[in-house]
Amino acid sequence: MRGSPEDDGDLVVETRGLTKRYGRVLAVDGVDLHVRRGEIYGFLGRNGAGKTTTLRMLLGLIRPTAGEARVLGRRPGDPAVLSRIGSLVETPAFYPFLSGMDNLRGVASYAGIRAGRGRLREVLEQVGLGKSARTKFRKYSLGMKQRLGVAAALLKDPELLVLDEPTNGLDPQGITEMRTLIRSLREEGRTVLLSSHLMSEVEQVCDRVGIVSRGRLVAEGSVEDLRGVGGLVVRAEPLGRAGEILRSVEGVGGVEVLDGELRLAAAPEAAPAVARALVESGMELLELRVARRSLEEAFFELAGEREGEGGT
Amino acid sequence: MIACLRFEVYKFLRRPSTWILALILVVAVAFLDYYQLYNAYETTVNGGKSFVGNLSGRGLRDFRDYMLPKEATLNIPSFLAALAAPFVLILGALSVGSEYGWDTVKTSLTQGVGRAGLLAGRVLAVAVVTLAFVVVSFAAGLVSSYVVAGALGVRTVAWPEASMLLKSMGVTWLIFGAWASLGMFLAFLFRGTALSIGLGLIYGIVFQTLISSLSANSELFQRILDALLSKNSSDLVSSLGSAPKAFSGGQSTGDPTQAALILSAYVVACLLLSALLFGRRDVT
Repeated sequence: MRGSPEDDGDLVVETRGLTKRYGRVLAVDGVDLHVRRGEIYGFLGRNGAGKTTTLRMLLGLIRPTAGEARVLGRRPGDPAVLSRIGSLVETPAFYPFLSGMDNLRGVASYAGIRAGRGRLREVLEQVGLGKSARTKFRKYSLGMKQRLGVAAALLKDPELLVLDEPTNGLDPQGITEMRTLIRSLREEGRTVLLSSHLMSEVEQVCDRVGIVSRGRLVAEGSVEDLRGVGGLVVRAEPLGRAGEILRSVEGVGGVEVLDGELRLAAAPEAAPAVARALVESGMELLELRVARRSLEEAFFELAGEREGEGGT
Repeated sequence: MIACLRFEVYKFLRRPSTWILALILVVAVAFLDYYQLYNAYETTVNGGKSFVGNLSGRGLRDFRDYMLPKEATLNIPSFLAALAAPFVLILGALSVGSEYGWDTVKTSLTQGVGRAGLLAGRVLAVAVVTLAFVVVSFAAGLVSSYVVAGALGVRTVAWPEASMLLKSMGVTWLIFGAWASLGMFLAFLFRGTALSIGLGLIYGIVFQTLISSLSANSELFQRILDALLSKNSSDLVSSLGSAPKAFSGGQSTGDPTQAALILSAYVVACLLLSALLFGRRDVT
């Protein structure tokens, strides 16, 4: 399921065997990540799966124990690369005694960019903090702090944005606005590496997904690929008789009645045979479709296997 | 780099703790140094007992002169080196430790400034602020000495020469720099403020006093004392002149040049170790 490097095209982030060990704890275990230019890549995993550690390695905050990484074609932490990356890792961290505006001015200073008052205000307006520009950071709510973190990430007009749980602390309206903002970043041609433990967020926003479990990347691909195929769904009358008929159809592994439907353990290629068997038996075929797993189901299947492997 | 330095200095200016430390220095120089000396002098003149003991004649005149503006170039650094320098350690520790506490070290490092650039900007900013502390302390001392001169009825006030004033301020800046560097190093070592300030003050106040008292009867402790900040600070201050006999009990006997080299070595060693820790450690 993992994308092969040959068909990855223009890779903005690429890691090979990226590993981080803290004593006996293997926080990140041989991760091979491929983030393509212009896509929104979802880095999906439970809390403590190794997402943030991986992101910190990509930003040069943490040195890997083994493996290598290239970000925008250079090694992580290279100042020339960091000046092209906007990032928000874990909780937004700013000086509590400075205003939002002053904190952004500091970010511009550290980034070595000239950002006038107009540019600072523009970015603050973009994240909905225009009216709180002069308020001290310590007086910001959790959601406002998160917005300032995103504003800081946008300030450099970055090619790549690394956003770690960007909707943390936001109210429902803020979450919707953040998703819209992230989608608009893709339309502007930017690449977004979005880390999250929220399936719905990743499913709604991301083009491709990497699933990490216990420090390992267990799957990487498009959302559709990861969701995969979950069998066939049939609605027919009478339901009981239809079920009996389908059990004998070649290619159908099992039949289950659920919520007034028949769930068939069968590949999409078995659909014509299923339809033919029902029609030839005089059944009334109301609906026949391919069932797809939700990303959540796919995640638990893919990540759950890993949990099982490692469990005692 | 310049933008980074400018923002680091701006942060110091906007930070309440910087102003609190500056205020502590001003109050300390004005009250713990000059007011206390003036009070002791008046008590002695009026036949009472003070911490300077019984003084008369030349000794009393020297004591009086020591409080006047002309002698501020010796009085102020002597006081700061002995009592106020540990407060500068707090400044150094706060400049680094708070960044770990707020996690802003992560924010600054992910902008592209680089670890070396960030450290350089921060060190230069601390140097600028410690210089400002020196200027503020001397201003407070000179004003206090002028007030004392007025209280003592001195009609013509003699001021120190500019060259002597600059030398005295330079000496104090080096002493402050050594203490601030130690504070920064401890904050890098412990990645926080509480432990670094706590241990720094234990070193500055308890450990040095203990070694100083033990050194009277032990060559080993004397050698240890010779390497400590307070001893070298007072040795360096001795290059600015001789304090009155009333204070000569604690008068330094060391070589000022050697003291300057040791204090400089403190600065260099602390900054090199800080660079090593900051450059190699993960920011988790």
